[in-house]
Amino acid sequence: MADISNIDQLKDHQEQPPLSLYDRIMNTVKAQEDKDALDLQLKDLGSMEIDPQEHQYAAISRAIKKEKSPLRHMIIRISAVAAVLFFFIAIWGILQNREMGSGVIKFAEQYRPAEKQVASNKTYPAPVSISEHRSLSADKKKHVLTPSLIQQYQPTISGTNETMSWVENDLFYTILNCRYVAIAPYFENESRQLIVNVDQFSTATVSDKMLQFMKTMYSTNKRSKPTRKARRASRKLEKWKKADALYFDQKNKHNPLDIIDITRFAAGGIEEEEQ
Amino acid sequence: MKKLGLLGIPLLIICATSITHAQQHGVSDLTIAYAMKVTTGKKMVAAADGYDGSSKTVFVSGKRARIRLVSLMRMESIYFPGNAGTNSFATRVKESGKNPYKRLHTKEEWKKANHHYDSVSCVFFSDSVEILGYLCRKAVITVNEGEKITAYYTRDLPNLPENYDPAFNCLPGLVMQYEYSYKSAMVSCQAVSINRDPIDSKIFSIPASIPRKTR
Repeated sequence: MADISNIDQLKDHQEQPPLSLYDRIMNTVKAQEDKDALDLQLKDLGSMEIDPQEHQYAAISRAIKKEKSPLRHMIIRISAVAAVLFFFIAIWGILQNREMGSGVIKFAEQYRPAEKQVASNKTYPAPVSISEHRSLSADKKKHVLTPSLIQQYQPTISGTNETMSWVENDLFYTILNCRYVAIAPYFENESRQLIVNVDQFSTATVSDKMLQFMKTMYSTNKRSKPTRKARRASRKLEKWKKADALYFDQKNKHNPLDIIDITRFAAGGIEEEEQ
Repeated sequence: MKKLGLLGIPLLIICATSITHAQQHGVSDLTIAYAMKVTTGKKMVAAADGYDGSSKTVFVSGKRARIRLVSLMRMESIYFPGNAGTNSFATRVKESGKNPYKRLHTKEEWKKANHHYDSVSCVFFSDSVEILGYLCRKAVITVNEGEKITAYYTRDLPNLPENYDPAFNCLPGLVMQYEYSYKSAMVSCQAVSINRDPIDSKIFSIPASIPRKTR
């Protein structure tokens, strides 16, 4: 076993570092000393107190407390309040519309085109166009019932007391202008025929096809506005009227009272979309 | 016997006068309503379906007549004043719509407007049917282009004066039912009521307020 009693004597032993490493060792030692000195100085400063200026105080305070700017804070608060208010207004509006809708439908049950509005004229898409498009009073002024209509007879729905007012001396529009409650039973019951007494001599029966077409014109959506189908039907009716006028009114070529002319019109008339 | 003979002469005179009056002045008051059925032959609803269920009413009083169509698509009348003094043999009046009008026709113009019926011939059959209590016989009317109209007429009621309804000129009595087919379409008319009550002369008055169309 080696003798280790002389290890204590090594603690007094000194050895000069190599010259190339001497500077590096000295710099490291010196840096550590400087750091220690700096730490000592800063430590002294730690006990020193200086009151900040006012404008600095707020900034420092905010920085410390991590507060947001008052303006931004206000904007956020207002936005939050506005959002809540808007939410409640929207809820209220929806509830109001629902009540109005049911009211309109009830009203429509008792009244006519304005409510269960019939999409009629190309000038506007939705319902009733007939009464909006041309007011009855205007029609009455423009188109006075003439003796040709025989005693200015008010047309009625056969089997009922429902009297209609002429619209443009046109039976189609006149029927569409009558009260929905009067005409609805004919839509619901396919076996019922809608017969109109035009006067004491003449009646007109609305065919099943035309009745279904009229029903389409009365169709409304949840907002009690005419559906797209209803508006399309309205445009179709206008198209038919034009085609009819073109065939029978132009150049005196065709006569609707002539069986050959009317049959050829039926054979070669406008082809429409399937119902 | 002598008294009877004396009584017979005035009666004969009265009867002769009545017959002459009827001959000169046409049919006594008669109102016939026809129901019109139009079939387009298509599934799709079309403009012509607006004529399905319409009514055609014929008013006759002597030589005066008016034929009126009432339908969803339009209301129109043809007036025949029956008076040789007037400048119009037939006046077509569109009563309905935004632009009602009337169109006057001389006899030649009316004939031209009904060019389908320049040559009309009837073939009579023994087939019969009862319509409104009248026995009606079948006739097939062939028109210009070879088209055929099937008609049922009754001899018990007089036909309209010539050219009032030119399709039925060749019939010996009033038409009570008729139909015509072209391609997939068919139109038929059947008498649904006959009324012999006196007709108000206003029925035959052409409304003055309706503008005249010349073309």
